[in-house]
Amino acid sequence: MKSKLNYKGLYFDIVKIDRDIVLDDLLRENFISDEDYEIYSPYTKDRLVIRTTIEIYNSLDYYTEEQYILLENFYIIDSEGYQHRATLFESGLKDTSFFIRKMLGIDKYYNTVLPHSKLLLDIYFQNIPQSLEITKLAYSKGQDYIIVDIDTGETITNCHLD
Amino acid sequence: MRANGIVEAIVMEVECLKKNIYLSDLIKDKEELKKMGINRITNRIKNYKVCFISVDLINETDDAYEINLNRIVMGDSSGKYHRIEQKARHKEFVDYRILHYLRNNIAESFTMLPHCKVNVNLVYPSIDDNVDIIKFAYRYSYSLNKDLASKLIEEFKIIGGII
Repeated sequence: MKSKLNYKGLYFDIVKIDRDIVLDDLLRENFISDEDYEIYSPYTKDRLVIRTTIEIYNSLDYYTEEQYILLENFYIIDSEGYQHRATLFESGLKDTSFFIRKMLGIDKYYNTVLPHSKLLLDIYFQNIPQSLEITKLAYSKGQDYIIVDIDTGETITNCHLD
Repeated sequence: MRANGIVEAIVMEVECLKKNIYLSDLIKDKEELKKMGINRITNRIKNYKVCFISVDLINETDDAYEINLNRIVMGDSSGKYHRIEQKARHKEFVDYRILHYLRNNIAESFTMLPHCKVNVNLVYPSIDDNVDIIKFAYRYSYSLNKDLASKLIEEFKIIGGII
């Protein structure tokens, strides 16, 4: 995959896209206790998600607040043009939702990537129909956006590129 | 049905509009519910009578726009406006889960990327049987004042199509 997305000095490289993963398996992979498993399993069993593994590199000599990684600002776009937002696995039960996110090591915010350092990040999306391709990855903050074509690496942006 | 409206740039394409149906009629497939993380629907919720609309919001411009679903209000033929049904949101988690599900896990506020679409399912309170849903509007000002009609809004009409 050629995709490379640059936002204010941060480069987002898509390392891998895994489709149709059962969330239950992901949670099991994290070696949680049976007791903990019982808490969330009713809400996650058979739930399909897409996992995108993204490497974020800070190319600058410094980091700023603007570079804070907000997971909710990630989108994938399918071959029909629908955008899908990164999911935080809200189950409706606040504590359970938090628990799931914690187990998967995700939260609304991630720390800033240190200068000239890399952060490997798994970002999860709701499953989209198998008949549709994932064509683009996007990152958007307010009216700033950057969209990258996963196959060609072509970028569309209205952000200032450092 | 297709109408221009929201923030002067977003097209609203109506896929399904159902007037005054029970929430239980919208959510029949238990397996589907499980997949979405819902394993229980209370009787109280089942008996909710609601108006339901499934729409594609389409951004046909080169700009990104922030959309707040709470600002899409429904106008009936008696001149009243209604906001998204959320009377139970802060009272019982189960209710919130269902509404969340109906929103396709979309947050209340989100960015519409350029040349992209988002499908949203919105649930509104039921309306009197002798009135129709005739339009939807996007409110630019936000307050808890119930007098929605006095707010600055941009309207776009929905004609026909009630199932």
